[in-house]
Amino acid sequence: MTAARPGRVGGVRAAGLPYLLILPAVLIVAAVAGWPLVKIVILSLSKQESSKFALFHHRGSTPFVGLDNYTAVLTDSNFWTVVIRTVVFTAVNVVISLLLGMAFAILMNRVSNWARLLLTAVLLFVWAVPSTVSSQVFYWMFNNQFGVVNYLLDKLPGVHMQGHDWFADPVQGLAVVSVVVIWGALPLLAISLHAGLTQVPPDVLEAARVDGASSWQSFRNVTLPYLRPLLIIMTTLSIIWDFGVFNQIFFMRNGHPEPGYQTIGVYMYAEGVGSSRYNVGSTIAILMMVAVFAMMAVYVRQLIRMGDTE
Amino acid sequence: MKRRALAAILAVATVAALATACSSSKSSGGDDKGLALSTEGKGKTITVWLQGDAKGWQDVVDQANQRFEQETGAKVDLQWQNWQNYTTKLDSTFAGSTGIPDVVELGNTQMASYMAAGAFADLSSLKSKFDNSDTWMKGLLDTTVYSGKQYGIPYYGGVRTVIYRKDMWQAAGITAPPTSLDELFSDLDKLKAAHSSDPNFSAFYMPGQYWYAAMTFVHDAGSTIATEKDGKWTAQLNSAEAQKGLENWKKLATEYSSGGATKNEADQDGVMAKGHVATIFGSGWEMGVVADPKTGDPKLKDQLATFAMPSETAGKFMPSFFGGSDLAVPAKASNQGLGAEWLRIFTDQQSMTALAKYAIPNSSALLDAYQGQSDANKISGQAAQQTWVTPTSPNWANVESGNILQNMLQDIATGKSSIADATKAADEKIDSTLNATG
Repeated sequence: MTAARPGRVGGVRAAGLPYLLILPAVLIVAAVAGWPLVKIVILSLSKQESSKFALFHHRGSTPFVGLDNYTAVLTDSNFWTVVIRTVVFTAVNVVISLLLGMAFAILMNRVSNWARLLLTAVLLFVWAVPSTVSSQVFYWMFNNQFGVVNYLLDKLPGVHMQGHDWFADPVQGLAVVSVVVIWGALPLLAISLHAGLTQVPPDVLEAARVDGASSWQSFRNVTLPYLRPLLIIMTTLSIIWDFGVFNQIFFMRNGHPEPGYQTIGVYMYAEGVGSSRYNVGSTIAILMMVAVFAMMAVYVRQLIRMGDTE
Repeated sequence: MKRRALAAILAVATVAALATACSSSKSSGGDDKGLALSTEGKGKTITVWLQGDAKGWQDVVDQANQRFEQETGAKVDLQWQNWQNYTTKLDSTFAGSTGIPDVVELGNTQMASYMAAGAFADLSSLKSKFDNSDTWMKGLLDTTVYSGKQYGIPYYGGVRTVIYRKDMWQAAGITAPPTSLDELFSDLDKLKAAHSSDPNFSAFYMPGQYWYAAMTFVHDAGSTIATEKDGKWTAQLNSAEAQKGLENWKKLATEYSSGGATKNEADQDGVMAKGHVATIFGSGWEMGVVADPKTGDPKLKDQLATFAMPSETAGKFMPSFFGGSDLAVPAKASNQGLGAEWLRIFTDQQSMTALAKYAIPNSSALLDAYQGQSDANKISGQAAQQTWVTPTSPNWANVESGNILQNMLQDIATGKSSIADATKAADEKIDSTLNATG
């Protein structure tokens, strides 16, 4: 047995090899993402007859109705309330998580080695906690009677939080959800932005300081321009993630988010799967996907532009 | 030898019967007429979906499985289910063609929509083979029949009563259970006063989404959720009577309960076990959960007792919601005959007598066995004689899964909406949901 030496496969035969190797991945993606996508598009363009009966027996025909489902969804005022709520929720979460992420990154850049190592380890630990688990943990911390948050707030002079129900008002409730979302988003943002900060050439910063720039000025005019491509990518990704938040809301409202808690992902589930109206659910899913694709475009364009400059 | 020959004949007969049952169910989508019980299960495994409640009567399940496995040679794959989002799981399972269980448990309020959708095999011809089928509890029987056909088998039921801490009630100077709603309120005032230093104290813990409780008050006030006339449903929650009942419920949920305004009743036993709750409204078995060493506090074991929820009319009880479960064989199940046979064993005299220790069994003939178990059973057995059930529309399940009542009640309990506004909005949703076609 003489083992073939690596690298000897060369020549004409190897030309097709990369395609052959990527084929399984392409087939799997086509099967698990492509086919369901096609089905969802078809569903969103058809009418659902007698719901459960048709569903169980494939008997009720599902006639093609063009864009009827889209008209129905887009003219529903509930849908637009949900869209506006989602946009506000996304904006608040993205801004706060980026600001905090940047603060953490700068902190990591300044502290000594062991402190940075410790911080990174803690952030990685946070990263490793699944959103289902963190949602439960935060839900209990914000429990109105026995939660630690109310207990600590109540200790502050002049603050009376005993028994305060954070989930009675959806605005407050969504604020609690935001805490979990931001908490979960911080590690990636902080670590990536910290990596970005290390790429800012120290001599340029040094030069700025010699020229008499304050730390804010050198951050604003030297550091930020270097970070810009990374920041755009992180912002786009954050928007996409926060736009599609589902787990945190679903678990913190015990599987039944009230209308005031419905962002687009939850709304899609409640209208589609939750009430067995799969055509409506598919329609909302497609609309949601179009919105996300639009945001992705920014991300992809930035990636291409970065490739050009390199 | 004789026995073997007989078994062979039986086997051939069952296979033939099964074959016809299967083929007819496939061609006509569920309205088969030839389903037969099967005892030929060598090498087969049937899948049974039971709700986790049955872990409380595991011995009943075990003895039925054992007898079934002995008799048929088949194995039972018992898969525990969870009520949360259960109908969503059922929908997606029945829509497919694989992974369909041979026996499923459904809440009695969920049955109608699935029977109407042809989700279950017709068991009409087998009804007489089931023990006590002529004395099945009405609150369950009514939910297993659709257009004259028997699609389900009653399993067990329960009513909710008031569960209270004897020590706390006595310490507050109350000696006898209240006989009217007014008396209940004045008793709760005494409890509240006795614990005024505890900000987490609930004289009566009433979660804001507890719709079975709230609708009990609605029925006590002489109203109901919705009425039907000529096939059209009309929601009644905005009526003067229903609003009066909800007024009483709101008083309970806001003046005597703390900490539950945005929760449902799922964890109320654990909450009670923490020691800041004097009273809850729940099923009898919940006393066991409150005093369970794992889920609750075993010290409370001898401190819990029950009484039926007193009516606004002095000397009467409120009518109880008859909650319960039915069992059915899915139309697309691959082992229908075996599934039905498991059902027969699991609901026969022996199984149901054993079940009577834990819950109201499926037959009124076994009610004595249930009531003889304890004082609490005696009280709930009495309460079970005057009951209400949810609207029998096939669309009722969508009202439940749409959380219409829960959201309405939470808005009332948190003060977000007035009773008049909340019920008006809910009525509109209930009307459009119950009367939806297609």
